[in-house]
Amino acid sequence: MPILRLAWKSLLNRWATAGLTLFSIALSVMLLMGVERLRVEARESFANTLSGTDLIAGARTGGVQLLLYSVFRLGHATNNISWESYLDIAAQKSVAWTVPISLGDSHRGYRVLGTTTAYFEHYQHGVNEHLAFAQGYRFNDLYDAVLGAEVAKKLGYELGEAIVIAHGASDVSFARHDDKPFKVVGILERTGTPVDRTVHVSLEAIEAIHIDWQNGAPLPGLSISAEQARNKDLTPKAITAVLVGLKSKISTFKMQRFINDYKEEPLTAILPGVALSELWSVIGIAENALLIISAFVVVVGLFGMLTVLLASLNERRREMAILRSVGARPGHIFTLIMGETAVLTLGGICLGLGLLYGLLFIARPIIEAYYGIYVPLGGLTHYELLLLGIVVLAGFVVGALPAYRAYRLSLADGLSMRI
Amino acid sequence: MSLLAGVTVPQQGSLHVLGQQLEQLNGIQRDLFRAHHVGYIFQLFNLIPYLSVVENVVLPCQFSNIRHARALQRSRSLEAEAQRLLGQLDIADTLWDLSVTTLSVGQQQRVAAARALMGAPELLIADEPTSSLDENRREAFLRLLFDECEQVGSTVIFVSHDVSLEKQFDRTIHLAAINKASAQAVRERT
Repeated sequence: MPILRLAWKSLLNRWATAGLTLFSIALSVMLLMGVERLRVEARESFANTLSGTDLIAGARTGGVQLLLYSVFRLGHATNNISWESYLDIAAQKSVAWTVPISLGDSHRGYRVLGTTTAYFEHYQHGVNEHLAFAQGYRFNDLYDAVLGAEVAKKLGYELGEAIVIAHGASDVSFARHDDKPFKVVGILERTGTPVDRTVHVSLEAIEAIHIDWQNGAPLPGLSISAEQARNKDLTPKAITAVLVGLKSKISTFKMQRFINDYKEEPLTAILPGVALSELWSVIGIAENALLIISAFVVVVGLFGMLTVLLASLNERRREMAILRSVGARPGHIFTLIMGETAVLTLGGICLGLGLLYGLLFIARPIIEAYYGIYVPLGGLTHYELLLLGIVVLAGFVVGALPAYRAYRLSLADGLSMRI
Repeated sequence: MSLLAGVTVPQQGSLHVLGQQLEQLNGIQRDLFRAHHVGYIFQLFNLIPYLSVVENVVLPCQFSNIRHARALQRSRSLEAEAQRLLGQLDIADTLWDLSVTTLSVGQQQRVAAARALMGAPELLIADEPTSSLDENRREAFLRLLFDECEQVGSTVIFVSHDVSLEKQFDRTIHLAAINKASAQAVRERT
């Protein structure tokens, strides 16, 4: 259609304003799609923090809180599970495996987690991805430690290094277990989960470093050396939480009820997936706010286009009269302005997508390394296409305004030149 | 002129142009009538600033298949016909692909004339096209315009304040003499 070629040439003639308008639409589209993509991937990666675990059990508490301290290493457990209760849960017929975890100490701001080697076997994240070792192996000796990827990288630790664990979670703890240093024997691959920020030791080690402590302080006059501690009974008295894997998913609710109704002490069992989505629904408000803000940026971009097109109309009344004189109908004038809108909106979207993919291509390894969020470069999802469709529609609605005004003007002006 | 070009319709009476009763046509039909049969030259600023000289001249053929066909009868392509007309109207071929904004006023008016003649419309309406030209240029412009209209077979309707041009036309009408509308209005007021 020749009128669309006219629209294209008229835009080329005003390339500076048209280009800036197109660029602002492109930037807003890039922001919208970028936020959308990050949002989806962040949610995905959040939901995949822990997988393969059917239940998490801890002392009686709220579900989200149990999740926060057992999986995200945030906050503190108010109470522990006794070792006897743990053994009882582990002995249930429907239980396939258990991973006991014990928290409370830290190393230079990173949480120390006491567990068993079952942790390396059964802890999964993402789509059934197991923990893998970048260097070294699982802890074997009492004073062995396995570091998460971020701990090793940030603190610059290598295999064989000696580290001292501090009592409590604070970075500036005065109370240190400096009589019983640990040796780094393994460093895990990066997972993008809280595992990266964790120092793993055995449950017995946790017991050993606290053997001469009481009520959060060393017992005065009683000092048991690292070597002496090896000969003591190091069976834990209590643990913080336990990850439970079941033989069959069908027994999940039965097992959860069993733990929740446990007679000997008050316990809570949660389904990690349910608790994760509960937690996300809290965090998700920020995520939605981000999407709404970027949607408004698109609206601002489109209003910029509206301003440019409307402002140009008055200077273009002469052009409209000329077109009318060579036989253009008012409908052609409408199409001319709509054509310009279409070029700006569609061009803006294409450029925006190009910028987005270019940026993702550059930033993807960085995002993955630092935030553990894998952003795929793949094609557009249905939801993204829907968003783009809405942008196109909004662009056409916005463009219809100056187009209709031009239509009215050209009807009213006819062939008279208004300058 | 707006009436002749089919932009407006008479409030009463009837208007026959080229055998068409214009007041009976709707807006779209009148626009098509203009596209097919009328070439129009404004007093000034005739050209679309973002098109080249040739593109401006070709423009009417994009809104009328009749003029498109007639232009092709004369030359093998629209561009060739535009270039032929521009040559006739004394626009050097070095200017053909330039932006129209680089042209002088006299050149712009001649390009406008070439556009109005494109596809040989029956009627060419010119609204004081020479008012911005000096006397020599005016003479040359009219001569070229008339030559070309004769070849194409178009009727020129030319509006001017310049009485000195009168002798070059076959027929002249003084607007005051036919302005019955205002005469009637004056009578009604007294």
